[in-house]
Amino acid sequence: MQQEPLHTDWERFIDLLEKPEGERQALVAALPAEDQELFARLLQMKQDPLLTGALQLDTAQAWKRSFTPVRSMHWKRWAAAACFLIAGATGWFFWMQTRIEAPRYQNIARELAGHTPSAKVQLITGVGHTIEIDSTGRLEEQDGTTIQLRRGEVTYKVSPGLAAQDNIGLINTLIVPRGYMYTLALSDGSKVWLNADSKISYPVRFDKGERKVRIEGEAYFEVVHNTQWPFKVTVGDAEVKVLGTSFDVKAYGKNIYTTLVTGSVLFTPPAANPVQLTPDHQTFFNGSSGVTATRKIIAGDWIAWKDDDLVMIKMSLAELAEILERRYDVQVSFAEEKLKDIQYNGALHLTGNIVDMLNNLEQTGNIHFAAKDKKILILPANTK
Amino acid sequence: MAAQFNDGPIDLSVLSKKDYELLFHQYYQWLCLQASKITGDWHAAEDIVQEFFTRCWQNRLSIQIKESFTGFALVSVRNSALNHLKKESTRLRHETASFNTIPDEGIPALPGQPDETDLRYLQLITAVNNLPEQRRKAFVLSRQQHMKYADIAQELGISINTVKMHLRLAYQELRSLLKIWAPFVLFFKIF
Repeated sequence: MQQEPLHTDWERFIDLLEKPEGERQALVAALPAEDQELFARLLQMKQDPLLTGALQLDTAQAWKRSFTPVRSMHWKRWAAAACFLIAGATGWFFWMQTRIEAPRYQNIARELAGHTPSAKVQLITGVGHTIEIDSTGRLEEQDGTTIQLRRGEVTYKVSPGLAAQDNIGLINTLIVPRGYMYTLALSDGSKVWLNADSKISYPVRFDKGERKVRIEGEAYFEVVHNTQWPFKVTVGDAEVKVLGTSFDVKAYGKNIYTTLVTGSVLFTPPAANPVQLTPDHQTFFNGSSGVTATRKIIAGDWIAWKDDDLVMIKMSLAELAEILERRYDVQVSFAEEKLKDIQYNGALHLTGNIVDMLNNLEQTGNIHFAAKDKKILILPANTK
Repeated sequence: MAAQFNDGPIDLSVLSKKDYELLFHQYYQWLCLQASKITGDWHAAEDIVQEFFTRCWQNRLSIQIKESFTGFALVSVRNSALNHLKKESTRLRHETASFNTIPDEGIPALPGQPDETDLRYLQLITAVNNLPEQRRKAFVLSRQQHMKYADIAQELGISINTVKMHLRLAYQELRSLLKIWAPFVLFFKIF
């Protein structure tokens, strides 16, 4: 070990900087007091995210960008949704004659009181254990990884005692069934919001080359910015590559909607060329035809679900019914086909209570709901 | 970029494009850092700073910088960042502040002159950028939590010992600039 005139042991410092936290704390405590102080400052400087972010920036590239005639991006954000509901009817008819087996369906308040989703949120760990998540608290897996649960969130904190290599390769899957939504914090600090009827598979600890996760259903991501460490989301046979940004991926059926809020992503459809997205744009991949199209949208409308807001833009009752089915874990059917075409425009905040929601929708005056167990029937308004 | 401007009154109108490029290189990363503290979004910060430099160049005949470019640039960029923030919804700003890794230091009430911490950041960035290239690369790579010394060695095509030597020299060079980080709060991030 080399000694500086000031007795600072730099070799040791450099070695200490690389050690995992738990081990390092013990070793630092063994340093002389004045070195401890210097080391602490050094460590904080090394970890300072502002500095890290700044030093990553490609100044030469930025200069080229500035002094080339390209319009700078216009950032639009979604303003808080107005909580009003306007029903615009297309294809709305009075149906006096037909009545569908009414006796089987009863008053919704009575039938749906106390309705809860049938399954629970589940975590299937890399070593094959299935954990049902329905309570808060700290859960410790047998392999030593600590999973911290907070009211509706799952956070991973790797146990300090565990060496860095031990966890690479372990893939966990979080299953969010109908009736639930969940938030997950990944080991790099990125956050993922999962909508009802969705799944995410992710490594407990990301590998150094890239951060890769796989999803089904719908998820909104806020990815920690790191140009040296690409973040990729695979969905079906397609892939979204990310550079530190926030975006939504919706893939319930064969179609994939990728919506960019901030930053930059590259969407690669299966066996096709990648498409670059800019904020407030969305690519729609048609799973049946294989065609990908991009359009301008207001991103906020498409991520409103994560705050349990429903934004309807010329939304048909058929589509609304699908959303309610996933959100509340119910089954919806229509007394008449024509009702499926009723269109809605506006925004609503969804509540935990499905009966309140349905009552809200009934206010529009063109439909009426009845229920039996968890089956809901949509009838024309004047039906009793 | 080794040349440095002595901070003081500066007349942009007499600068050649090449000189202006040097100015850009000297301040770009630091101004983005300052903007990102307000916007919480590095992409927006970069846009704001690029726009500042573009505007300055376009208006260089009429801009008068009496005190220092540092202060002038900082105030302009902070103003733009605050305007950008105002255009966002309150909720999105709140979410951005909570969920990314930039510490929430609060939004300055007035876009004032650089304080000691601001200047230290500028000195640090300048010092890092003035390191010999290989050393600078090793230093910047070592800040990535997933890069071990072995990884850096492989990336740069040098030995682990050389990596450690570079880092040791880099840290020794920067030690005098470490004042802004509080010594007594041993803050260790979990990786």
